[in-house]
Amino acid sequence: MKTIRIIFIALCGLVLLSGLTPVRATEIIATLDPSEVHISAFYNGTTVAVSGVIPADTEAVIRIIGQRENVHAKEKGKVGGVLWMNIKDITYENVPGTFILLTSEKLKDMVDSPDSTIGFASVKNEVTILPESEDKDFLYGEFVKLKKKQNLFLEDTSGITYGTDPEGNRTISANLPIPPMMKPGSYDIEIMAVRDGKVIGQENLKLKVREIGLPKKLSELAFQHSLLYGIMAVVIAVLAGLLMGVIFKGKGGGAH
Amino acid sequence: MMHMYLPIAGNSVNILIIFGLGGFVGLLSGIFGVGGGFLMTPLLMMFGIPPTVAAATDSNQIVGASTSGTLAHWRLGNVDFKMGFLLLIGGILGGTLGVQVIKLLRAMGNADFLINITYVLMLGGVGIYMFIDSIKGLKGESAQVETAAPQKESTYAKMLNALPFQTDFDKSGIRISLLLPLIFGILVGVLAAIMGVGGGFIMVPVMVYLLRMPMHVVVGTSLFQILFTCVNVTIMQSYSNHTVDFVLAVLLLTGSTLGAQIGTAISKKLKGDQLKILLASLVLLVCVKMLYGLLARPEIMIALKGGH
Repeated sequence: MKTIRIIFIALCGLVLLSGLTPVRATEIIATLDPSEVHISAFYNGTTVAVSGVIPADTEAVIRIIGQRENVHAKEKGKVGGVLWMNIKDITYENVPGTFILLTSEKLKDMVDSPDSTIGFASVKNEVTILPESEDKDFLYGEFVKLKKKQNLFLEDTSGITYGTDPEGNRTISANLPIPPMMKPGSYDIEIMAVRDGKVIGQENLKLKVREIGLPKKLSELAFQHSLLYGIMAVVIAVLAGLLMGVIFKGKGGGAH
Repeated sequence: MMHMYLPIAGNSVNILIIFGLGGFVGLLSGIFGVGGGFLMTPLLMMFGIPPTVAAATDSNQIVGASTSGTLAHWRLGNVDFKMGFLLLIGGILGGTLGVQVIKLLRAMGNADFLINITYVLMLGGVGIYMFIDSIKGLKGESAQVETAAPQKESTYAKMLNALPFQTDFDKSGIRISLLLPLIFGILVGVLAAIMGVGGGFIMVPVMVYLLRMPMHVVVGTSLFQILFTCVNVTIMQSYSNHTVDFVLAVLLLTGSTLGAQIGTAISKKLKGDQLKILLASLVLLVCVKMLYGLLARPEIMIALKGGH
């Protein structure tokens, strides 16, 4: 019994040790700096540095897919053959608010293909577009265009810098863009290693985006004490108007 | 430091651009007494502000701009308070009615189409009429019309004189029925609610052409009426829709209160007909832009909902 136990412990030790030796095979190590983004009064989006190690002979994908939401939109169409109008109500259910993707030029075709499991198309099957009678591929495509315009959907195939570490693994570093319209909340940053078109390993890191200072105070007031907020907005506007009036009266003369 | 984050709009904006937008619209409101809502909302949307936030924040900004504008015009003796109150009462009644009309139209499905067509027709009609009229005025024909008017009164004038409750509006120097500003107030209120704007750009022509008030009193009085309409809208929107972005409003305000003062000073130097022709050109420009938007194939075939 004793010998068996010793062998078992020794085996466990070996397994543990092998875990500590330099990375080989499918392991990914990555860090975020910073891991929390603060939205203050003069915030205009930012970047978060991602650095790490992926196995040799693999390409990296760094991806953020934001919280799912339902979006109400109008589809445009021609009325009377000449006028473009918003005519049809369209609801997108379970669409991600943000979709940011960094990868290598080598993976561009794979990521952009209509049945990609990594690119913008990867979430299409989870999205419901109502009414269901509409052309889903077309409408999802238009949605992606709209989100790209807001910088909330973003694909960059030159954003990752590669290197080699002493153990022969690939090192990666990237500045992950955080657009100003990205909503406060908790996000998963997915770092994937892709070999021969297959994801062979993945590491997830947490990124927090939150308001601080003035934006935080104003949001709280607007949503929790909305009547007070409205009255305050009016009073300050009136005071500003009066103040300008007084300033100009003092300076301008002849106002009577 | 060039950008500021807008907590309600959920986006950041360039401070100088927003300041400039505010200044431009403030200048217009100072010169013409037009709140500028019909220009500001689409401009803000172009800079990435969601439609609902753009419209609601704009009314907050107009509160500030029209306060300073009203004050300036009041000092010049250009505000007809009696007329202003009557128009305001009518405007509030009409606005409430208009919101119900919009609800009904939305239920029937074709509200957006009607809103856009109303915009183009109203702007086109008003713009062309004002343009032609002010060109006539600049050529000196208006003087002849004035002398000819007492001889053959139009049917419209006869109708006006036949209405009950005739009363004097001292500031405007006219004698008309109390009912008239009330009725026009309601009509403008309905249109303003449908089109989702303060209504200044409809109110001004109504006062000039239908109530026949002198241009300088028109500007001061319409600013007065707009001030109260927008106070109401700001509080209602903050309370029920959380769409007033205070940071954005303050940035716009700083620009627009300055612009309004300069605009008022300019309006004193310009003749009535010059003012009218400028305003007419502006109204026509917006009309053409909207028409182009209706005719050109859109870049993206969907739009986020929530605009007016």
